[in-house]
Amino acid sequence: MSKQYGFYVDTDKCIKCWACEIACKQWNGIQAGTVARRKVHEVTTGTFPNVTRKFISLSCMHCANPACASVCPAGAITKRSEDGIVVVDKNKCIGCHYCFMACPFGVPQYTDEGMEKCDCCIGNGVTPGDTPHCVMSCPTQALQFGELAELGDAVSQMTAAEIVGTPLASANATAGPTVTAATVVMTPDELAIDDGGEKVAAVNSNGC
Amino acid sequence: MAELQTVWGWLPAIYLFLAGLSAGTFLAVTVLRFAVPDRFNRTITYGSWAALAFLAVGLLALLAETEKPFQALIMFTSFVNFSSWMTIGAWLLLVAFVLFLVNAILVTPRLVQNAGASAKTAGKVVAIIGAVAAVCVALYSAVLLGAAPSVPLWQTWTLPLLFLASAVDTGLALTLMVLLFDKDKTDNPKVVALFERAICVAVVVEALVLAAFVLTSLSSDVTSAYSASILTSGAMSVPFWAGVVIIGLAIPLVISAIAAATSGKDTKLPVAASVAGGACSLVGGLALRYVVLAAGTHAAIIAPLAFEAMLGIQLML
Amino acid sequence: MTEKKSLTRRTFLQGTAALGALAALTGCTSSSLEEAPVNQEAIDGGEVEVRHAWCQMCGPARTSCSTLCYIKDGRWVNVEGNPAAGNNWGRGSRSLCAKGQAAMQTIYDPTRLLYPMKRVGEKGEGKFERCTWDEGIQAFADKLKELADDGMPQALGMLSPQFWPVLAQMGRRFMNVYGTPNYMHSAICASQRAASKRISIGPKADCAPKQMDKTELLVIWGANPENSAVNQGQPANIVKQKARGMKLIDIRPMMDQLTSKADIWLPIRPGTDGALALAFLNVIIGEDLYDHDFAENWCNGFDKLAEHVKQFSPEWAAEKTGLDAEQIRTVARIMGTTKPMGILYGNGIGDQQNDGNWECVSICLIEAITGNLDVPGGGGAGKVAPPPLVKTSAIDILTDRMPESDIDKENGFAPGVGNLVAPEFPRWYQGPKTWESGGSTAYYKGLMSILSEEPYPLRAVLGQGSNPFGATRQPKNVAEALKKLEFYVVVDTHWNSSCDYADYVLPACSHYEAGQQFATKNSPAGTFIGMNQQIQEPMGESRSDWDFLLDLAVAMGYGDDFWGGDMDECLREQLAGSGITLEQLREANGGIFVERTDGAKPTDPVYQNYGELFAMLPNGKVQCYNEWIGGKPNCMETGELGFLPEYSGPPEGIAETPDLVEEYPLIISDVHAYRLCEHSYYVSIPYLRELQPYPWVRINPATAKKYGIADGDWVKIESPYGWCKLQAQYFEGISPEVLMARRGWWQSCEELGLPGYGSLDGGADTTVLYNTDIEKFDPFHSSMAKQTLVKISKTEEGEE
Ligand SMILES: Nc1nc2c(c(=O)[nH]1)N[C@H]1C(S)=C(S)[C@@H](COP(=O)(O)OP(=O)(O)OC[C@H]3O[C@@H](n4cnc5c(=O)[nH]c(N)nc54)[C@H](O)[C@@H]3O)O[C@H]1N2
Ligand SMILES: Nc1nc2c(c(=O)[nH]1)N[C@H]1C(S)=C(S)[C@@H](COP(=O)(O)OP(=O)(O)OC[C@H]3O[C@@H](n4cnc5c(=O)[nH]c(N)nc54)[C@H](O)[C@@H]3O)O[C@H]1N2
Ligand code: SF4
Ligand code: SF4
Ligand code: SF4
Ligand code: SF4
Ligand code: SF4
Ligand SMILES: [Mo]
Repeated sequence: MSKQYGFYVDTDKCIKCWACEIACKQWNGIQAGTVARRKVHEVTTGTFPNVTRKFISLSCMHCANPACASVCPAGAITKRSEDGIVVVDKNKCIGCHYCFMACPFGVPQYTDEGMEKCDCCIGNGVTPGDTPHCVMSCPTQALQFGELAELGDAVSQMTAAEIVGTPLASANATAGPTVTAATVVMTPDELAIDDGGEKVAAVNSNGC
Repeated sequence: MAELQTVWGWLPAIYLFLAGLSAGTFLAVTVLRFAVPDRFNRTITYGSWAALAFLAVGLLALLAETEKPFQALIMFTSFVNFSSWMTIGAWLLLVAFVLFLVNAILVTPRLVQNAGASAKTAGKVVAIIGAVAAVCVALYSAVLLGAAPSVPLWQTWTLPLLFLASAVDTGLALTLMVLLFDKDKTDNPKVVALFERAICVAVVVEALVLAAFVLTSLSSDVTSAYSASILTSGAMSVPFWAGVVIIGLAIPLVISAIAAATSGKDTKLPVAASVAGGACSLVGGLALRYVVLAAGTHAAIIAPLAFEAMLGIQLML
Repeated sequence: MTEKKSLTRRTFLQGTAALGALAALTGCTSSSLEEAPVNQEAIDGGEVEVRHAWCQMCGPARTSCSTLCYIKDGRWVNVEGNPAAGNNWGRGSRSLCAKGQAAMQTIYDPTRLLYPMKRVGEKGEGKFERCTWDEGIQAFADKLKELADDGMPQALGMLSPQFWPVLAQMGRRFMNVYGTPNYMHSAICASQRAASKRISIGPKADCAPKQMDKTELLVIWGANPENSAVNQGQPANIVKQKARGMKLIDIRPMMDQLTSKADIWLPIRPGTDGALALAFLNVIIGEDLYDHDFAENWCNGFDKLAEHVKQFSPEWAAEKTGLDAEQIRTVARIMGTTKPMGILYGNGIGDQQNDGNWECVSICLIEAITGNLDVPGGGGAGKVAPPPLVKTSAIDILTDRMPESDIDKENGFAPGVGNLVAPEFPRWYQGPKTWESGGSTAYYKGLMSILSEEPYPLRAVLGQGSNPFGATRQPKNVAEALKKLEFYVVVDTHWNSSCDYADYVLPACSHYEAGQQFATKNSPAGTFIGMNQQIQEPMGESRSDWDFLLDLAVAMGYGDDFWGGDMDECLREQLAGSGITLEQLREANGGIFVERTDGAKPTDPVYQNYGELFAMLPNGKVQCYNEWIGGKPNCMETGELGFLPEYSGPPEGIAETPDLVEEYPLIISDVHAYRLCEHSYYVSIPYLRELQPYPWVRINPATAKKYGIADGDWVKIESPYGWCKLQAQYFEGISPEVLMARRGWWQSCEELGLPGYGSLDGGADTTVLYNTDIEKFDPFHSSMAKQTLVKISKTEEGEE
C-alpha cells in the first residue's frame, strides 16, 4: 500500500466539546436531525464518587480491508489505492443498509441519497491529505489527522511498547507497525466478535 | 433501555419470511407431486403459483427497504459485487424466480394441455432443479444475515438451520391449507394425515433448532447474549414467546398432533382447526424473522469496558 | 488465542481509552498557516466569498474568536476560525467551539423576531400588532422626556447583565448624557468575583495562573473553562499542562469534562464552597503550611485571621459540604505544599452564592498566604506582551456628563451613585477611583423597586439583549414588577419570555447583519485587527443594536453627542490614529495582520511586585483582616460589613436548614455557561439543539431509582418557591443528594420541531426555584444563590 491516512484521537485531551461533530456537519452540508459522519462518544464507568469518563471522537476508520466494501452489492464503496481513503459513490449506492451490518464501528448511516460517511473531507474540497475540518476545529488538538506512519511516530516509542499486549495492539499486529493501534486504521477482515466484559454503565453521545 | 436493531425494519422481515415460505411451499408441493403422482393437481398448481408470488412479493419488500428501489431494480448495475452475499442472493433469487415461473406454468393444466412425455420429463427436471434452488433460497436468507460480521446474534450456524426449518414448516403448513380444500383429499385421507405428521416433525425439529440458537447465543459473547436476552426477557420477549413459541410452534404442534391422531376416526378434527393451525404457523414464521432481525444488535452499540482495560494498563506503568 | 482477539469497536474503544492515558503526543500540529484555505479554487473563481466576523456566541464576558465566513450564492454557508488572528492556542488555529461552528444558523433562524411590535392588549396577555421603528423609538423618547421633565431621569434603568459593548459603551454614553446611573448589572456575573478580589488582594493581583506552563497545581473551583472558554485556549492549555505533569484538583458538584481529567475531584454540595475555603485556611494556617515571609510582610491582620479560622475545622466543613473531613485535610495540605499553585474559580461560586464575597475573599487569601501570588506559574504573573502595533480607542462614554449630586459630592461617590435605585455594591465603594465606568444597580433589586417603590420606583426599563425572566431569579416576581412598570421596551433578536409584558418589542439584527464593530488581538507575532463585515442584509425589518441607541439619542435631541446618528462616524473616531481606515477594514476580508518586525518578545514581569500589586489596599497589604470593607455599611445600607470571612451557606441547605430537608431532600444548582448555548439562547439553533433536545437535570441513578424515575423520564422539581419540569438524565458523576440542570429553555427549534418551554412555574427554567429574600443576598456585592433544596417526582402521565 502506498499511503494510508488516518485519525488519532487523544482521549486525554478530548473534552467532548462537539466542535468536530458540528464542523463536519456544516462543511459537508449535513442537515441537523439527520446523520452524523463524526460522533463524540462517551464511556462512563464506575459509581459515584469513583467515576471515570472517557471521550472518544470517531468517524469512519478507513479500514485496511473495509468490511463495508466487501458486502456492498453495488460496489459503491472503494478504498482508494493512492491514499487509503474509503469513499462511497452515492450514484452507485442503492441504499440497502447492508454495509451498516458489516461495519464493526456502526459507521454507515443513510439518507435518501444513499450511504453517508466520512471521506476525509475530499468531497467538500479539501485536498486529500490536507487537514480535514473536524481536525481543524478541535480546540484542544486532541484530534489529529495524517499519514499513519507519521501519526505513529508522534506517539513515543515508550508508549508504543506499553500498548503491546492490549487487545488493540495485538489485533493490529498483522496490520503493520504496532503504533497503528494509536490511529483508527485497522483490519476488519480479522473481525470476529469479541467476548468478554460486562455492559458498562453508559455510553452516550449527547450527555453532559 | 433496549437497543433494538432498526436499520433493517419490517420489510426485510417480510422478505425473509416470504422467501422462506416460498421455498418451503415449493419443496412441499414438489414432494407431493413426486410422492403421489397425478393427484392433487389443484394443490400443486396453486402451491406452485403461490411459491412464485411469495418470492416476488418478498423481493419487492426487500427493494422497498432500500433508499433507491428503482435503481435497485436494475440488477445489472446494482448487484455487481460478487463478494457480497446480497449480490449472490439477488441473482439466486432471480434464478429461483425463473425456475418457479417455468415450473408453475408447467404444472398448470390449463396452460399446458396434453404435454408430451419429453415435456413431462423436462417439467420434472425443472422441478428438481427448482427444489435445489428452493433449498438455497431458504438457507440463503440466513446466510445473508450471517455475512454481516458486526451483528453477533447472526453469527451462528444454527441460524441457517433455523430458517430452513421454519421454511419447511411454513411451506408444509401452507400446502396443507391448500390441500384441505382439494377434492382429491377425500380419496387420499392418508396423505393429509401424513402431512399433519410431517408438520409435527417439522415443528419439533424447528423447536429444537430454535432452542439451540437461543441457548448458544445466550452463552456466547456479550452482544449475542444481550441480543438473545432481548428475545427471552427483553423488548422482544412478547413477540418471541407469544408469537414464535406459542402461536408459531406450540399451537400448530398440538393441532397437527390431534389431527394426525384422529385422522380416519369418527371424531375428526374440523377442517377449520387445521386451517387455523396452518395460519398460526405462518404468523410464527413471520414473527421469527422479525424478532431475529430486531434483536440483531450491532456490536458497536454495546459499550466497552474501557475502565477495566485502562486499569490494566495503568498497573503496567 | 486471545492474542488474535478480534477487533470490534468495543475492543477498539478500550484500546483508545487506554492509549489516551498514556499518549504523549508532541509537536504534531494539525494545521498551519501555510495550508491553503479550503476551496481556494472556488474562492479564486468568485463562487465563494470569504468575509471576516467576530464570533460573539459565548457572550461579551469572554473575548471573541475571529472567524472567516464563507458565502455562496448570497447565503452564508460555512465558517471557520481565522488562522491569522491567533484564536485559541495561537496563530494558525482554525478551531472554533461547537457554537461557533453553527454560527450561520443564528441568522437564518426561523424563530427570529422580524418586525417592530406594539402591545395592544393587557400586559402579559400577548396581544401585539405591528408598528414602525419610528413609532417605537418616538414613544420611548417621549417617555424619557416625561421622566426628565419630572426631574427623575434616574427612573430609567437599562438591563445589562454582562458587559456587552453595545450597552457598556454606547448605552452607558446615552445614560450619562441622559442622566441615569441605573445600569442594571446582573449581580451574579464576573464583577462579583472581581470586586472580592479587589478588596482582598487588589485589582492587579490574580489567582488564576498566567504562566500555566510552570504551574504545578491547578485548582478549578466552580469554574467551567471547558464550556465557558472553549476557544480561548483555556481547556487546550489545561490538557496540555496536564500532560506535562501539572496536577489538577476540581471542585464542582458534577463531574464535568475537565473534572474527569482531574487527579482529585471534590464533589461539593452546591452553595457550601465558603465552608470548604474556610476549612482550607484552617488547615493551611493550623498546620503551618503558609508562607511566613509573606504573612509577616504583606498581610494585614494575619494573626486575626489565624485566630478566626481556628473554628472552621475540616470536620465542621465536612458536615456542611458533604465531603470527607480527611479528604478536605489532604487537599488543603496539597494546596499548602505544592508550588506554584493557581486557582481558577468561576461563576459557579462567588458570583452566585449568598456568601459569595467572603468565599472569594477566602480563596484569594489561600492563594496569597501560600506564597503563590505573582510568582511564575502561580496566580497572575503573566509575561508582558510587546505593545500592540495598532492602537484604537474605545467609545468615550462621557462620564463627565453625569450630573454630580450633593450627596455624591459629600460622600465621595462617583457621579450619579447617590441616585442609584439599588446599588449593586455599597455606594461608598462606588467611588470615582474604583468605579470609573459609572454607578451600578443590582438587576433583581432594581426591578423590585417597581413594586416596593423604595427608594423610588423605576418607571422605564430597556431590555436590550437581556431576558429578565431568565437572567435573574423568580420570574414571577419580575412579571409582577413588569406589570406595574410604566414603560418597558425590548430590543431583541427573539420574542423572549418577557416580551409579553413590553410596550414595544423591537427586532434587533445580529452583528453579522450590521458590520459596526471591530476588535484587535495582540500577540508577540504582531497585532490583528478585524471588522465584523456585513454578511447578510438584516432579516425582515430588524436593525442593529448600535443604530437603535443612536436613533434614540437623535430622537432625544442628542444628535451632536452621537455623531448625528451615524455609526460610521463613531467607528472612524475609534480608529483615528490607528493608521487604518474604516474603508480598509471593510475591504479586508480576512482582517489585517500587522506583523511585528522589531523582534520584540514577551518579557518577564517583575515578580512578587507586591508593593505595586497591593498599593490600592489599606496599609498596602493583603486584607486578611479586611479594613477596606469592615465596619462600613453594606450595599443595602441596613447594617455593617464584617472584617473577617464568614460562612452563611445556601439559603436552603442540607446542613443549613435541616427542617426543610425532610420535605425537600435534594439540593440543586445549575450551569449556564454551557457549550451549546449562550445563557438561555441558541436553544433554537438546529446543530446545537440536536445534541441536547430537551431540558435536562442530571441525577444519580441511585436517587432516581429511589423515586421511581427512569432515565429519560420527565420529572417535576419543586422547591419551596416554585417548580419546573425537566427530563431526568442518569449520571453517575453526581452525588446522590445533588441535582444539576442547565438553565434557560424558552426557545423553540422549528427546524427540528422541538418546543420551547415556559419560564414561569411549570416551565423548564430553574430560576423559578431559587430564594429571592433580598436580606439574604450578599451584603457586599448583592449576589444571590442559585442553590436550593428541592423534591423530585415523576410527572403524571401525559403531563410532559
Ligand atoms: N459557552 C458559553 N460560554 C460562556 C457563557 C455562555 O453562556 N456560554 N457565558 C459567559 C458568561 S456571562 C460568564 S459569567 C462566564 C461564566 O463562566 P464560568 O465562570 O466558567 O462559570 P459557569 O459556567 O457559570 O459555572 C461554573 C461551574 O460551576 C459549577 N457550579 C454550579 N453551582 C456550583 C456550586 O455551588 N459550587 C461549585 N463549586 N460549583 C458550582 C457549574 O457546574 C459549572 O461547572 O462564561 C462566559 N462564557
Ligand atoms: N439560574 C441562573 N441564572 C443566571 C445564571 C446562572 O448561571 N444560573 N447566570 C447569570 C449570568 S453570569 C449572566 S451574565 C446572566 C445573563 O443574562 P442575559 O444576558 O439576560 O441572558 P438571557 O437571559 O439569555 O437573555 C439574553 C437575551 O438577548 C437576546 N439576544 C441575543 N442576541 C442578541 C443581539 O445580538 N441583540 C439583542 N438586542 N438581543 C440579543 C436573546 O434572545 C435573549 O432574549 O444570567 C445570569 N442568570
Ligand atoms: S468498515 Fe466501517 S469503519 Fe471501516 S471503512 Fe467501512 S465504514 Fe469505515
Ligand atoms: S447502502 Fe449503499 S454503500 Fe451500503 S452496502 Fe448498500 S449499496 Fe453499498
Ligand atoms: S474528515 Fe471531514 S468528513 Fe470525515 S469526519 Fe472529519 S469533517 Fe467529517
Ligand atoms: S473537537 Fe476535539 S476536544 Fe472537541 S470533542 Fe472533538 S476531538 Fe474532542
Ligand atoms: S469560543 Fe466559540 S462561541 Fe465563543 S467566540 Fe469562540 S467560537 Fe464563538
Ligand atoms: Mo455572566
